[in-house]
Amino acid sequence: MNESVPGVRMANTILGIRELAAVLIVLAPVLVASLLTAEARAQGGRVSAAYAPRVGDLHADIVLRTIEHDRTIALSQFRGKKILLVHFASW
Amino acid sequence: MTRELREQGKLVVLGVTQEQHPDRCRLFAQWQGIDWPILHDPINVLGLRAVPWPVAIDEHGVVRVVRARPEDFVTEFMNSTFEAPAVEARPARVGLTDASAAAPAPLKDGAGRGARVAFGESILLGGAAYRLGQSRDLLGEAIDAYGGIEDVANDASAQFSLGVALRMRYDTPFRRPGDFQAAIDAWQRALEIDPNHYIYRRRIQQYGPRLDKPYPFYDWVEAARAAVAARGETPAALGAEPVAAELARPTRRFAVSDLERGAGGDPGGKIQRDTKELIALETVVVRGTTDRGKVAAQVHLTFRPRPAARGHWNNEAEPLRVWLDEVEEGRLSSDYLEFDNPVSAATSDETRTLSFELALPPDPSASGSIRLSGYALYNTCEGKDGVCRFLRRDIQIEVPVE
Repeated sequence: MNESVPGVRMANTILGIRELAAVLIVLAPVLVASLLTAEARAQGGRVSAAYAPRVGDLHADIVLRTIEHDRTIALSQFRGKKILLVHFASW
Repeated sequence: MTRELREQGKLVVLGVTQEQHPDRCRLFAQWQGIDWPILHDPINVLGLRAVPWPVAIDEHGVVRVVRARPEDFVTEFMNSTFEAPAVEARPARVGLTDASAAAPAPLKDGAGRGARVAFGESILLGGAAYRLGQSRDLLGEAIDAYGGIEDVANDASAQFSLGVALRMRYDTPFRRPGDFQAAIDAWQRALEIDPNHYIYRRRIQQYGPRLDKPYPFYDWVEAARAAVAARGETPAALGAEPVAAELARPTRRFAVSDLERGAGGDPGGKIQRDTKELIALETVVVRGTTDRGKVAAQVHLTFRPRPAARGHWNNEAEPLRVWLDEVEEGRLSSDYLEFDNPVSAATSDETRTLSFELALPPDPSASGSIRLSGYALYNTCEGKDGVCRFLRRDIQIEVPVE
């Protein structure tokens, strides 16, 4: 998938990914608003809090298995190092 | 650009993917030469609603860059020394509660955050349980217990997670009949509650009609395998092979196949029926989600040799083929399907999925569903050295329409 938006080109340069299948999906206007709110409400239903990292805030400590599922990684284990977190899909 | 920084120990790069199938992401990473760890978040515990630009986090865990140009990344982030925050605070944890645990405590009934957390964790860990040879059916536990979550019918995230768990179970021998359709239905409910959620939408579109697709999801797999093999490496294995619908390109108009209706069918219904069910058949209907896509549905026909009946494919005769009857309402993308059989062994057991699309009529009848019918013809063998037969399976599908 190829999408030509500034963030995508930036990711391409920083990460050296040749193909833009590393998804940085175009941010639709309606979604920009949800990035600014901690929690979104939808009609009649319960919607979980949106991921909305803000400069100056502590980032949540993500604790997840790797895609190989052979180990667990916690963001906090890298305390003391700078981290670049990349959101991703193969399509 | 980051390789040098990583080798010098100055920067850690971490990926996070929401893909249903982590092994496909692994093949992608192998193909692209990505050697930094990628975390798997199939139920979207992170709460991603859109994909932001890469996020840069300093040595103290504080977010420093949410959007930047490449030149700014180096000058502003890498070259900066950041002060520790004045107040010592622990960040909220997202994902697994115990990094070292192989499995969560058994799920309890009842409402509350405990049920929701345990439900999510069981799915995060359970997805790999089968592959890692663990005996505990975490996915089954999660699926059985999700009803204990408070207000679960209106909880988009829980519905989405349930769908993920069902589809994961479908990809293992623990699968139960109807798991794949139940997954699609759960994802549709999640999207209904939260229509702006792109991850929920993508999960459905992956399996949906071409009118609904934003892009072909997995058409890169073939090129990836070829490129990796050309380097002398073994391409990462995929547990569930992407089906045709996951490779299909989007279209702006309903596309009709030009495959000619195969000769040698059984219009008279004379071929013996597969009464022993050597081959199990599941049908899954995926409606489109967008204004353009919802006028169509992708129908998956999944044929699976049944171990209890000792069924196998016989690959030494005609391949699996399907003939579909003319529809009274709507339009089919094809009235004939044929499995392209590259298997070289005389018999095999793999799952075979054939799919087609239905364009819904503008004014569907009041009955609430469109009925499709047809039949499949296939060659099977019973047992390893058993009797081989040419059999017919009648097909009836109901496509719900509002």
